[in-house]
Amino acid sequence: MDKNNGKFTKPYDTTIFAYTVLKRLGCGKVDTFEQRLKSQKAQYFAQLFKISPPYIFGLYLRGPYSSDLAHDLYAIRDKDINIDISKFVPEELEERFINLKKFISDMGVRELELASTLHWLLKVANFNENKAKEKLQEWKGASTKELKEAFDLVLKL
Amino acid sequence: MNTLNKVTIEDIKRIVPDMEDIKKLKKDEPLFKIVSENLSHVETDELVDIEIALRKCERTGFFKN
Repeated sequence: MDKNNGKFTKPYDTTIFAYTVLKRLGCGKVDTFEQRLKSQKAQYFAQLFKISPPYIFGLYLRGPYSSDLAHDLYAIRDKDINIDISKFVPEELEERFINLKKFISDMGVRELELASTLHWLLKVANFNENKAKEKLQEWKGASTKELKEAFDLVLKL
Repeated sequence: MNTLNKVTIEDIKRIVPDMEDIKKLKKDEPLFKIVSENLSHVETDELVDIEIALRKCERTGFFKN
């Protein structure tokens, strides 16, 4: 059920800009679960890198998730909108984008899920490191290697 | 009174927004949502706002006037 009748949860240009960032990252699609997960996590990190207008994320089954973002991505898909993927005008903004792209470029679905979940636990839920580790192991079955990689990534932020 | 019969697909969607997740849920798997009042991850940024404003001007033809 579309309670907003196909409208976005944010102003039009704000939503389209968030989508533009995702498209430049190779995300934004919602046809498969993997695409949806990548879009959600890419948006989460894009906000942290101060590239994208913010959505509120809660922690769901597969990590940070924004239902408003999901709504908007589906609405965009249904509208068939042309996107301007040219570089951003402020140089600093474009540099942030390049850094973001480097940060997530080698991350698969599992790494995105673990790193974003860890970040959310530490920075949004304010868990200490031990508790965050414990939850990643309990909820995600994260191995020691995966935990280390996730922490290494989050520490770069 | 058994209220389970009154649970609709819309009720489930509110808890699990992504229907694909429902298919993957195993029996007894905990389903949770943690919501924090900490909104530090939703701070706006001036440069982002500027870029959005510029694109809006471009889209609406403001610069052509």
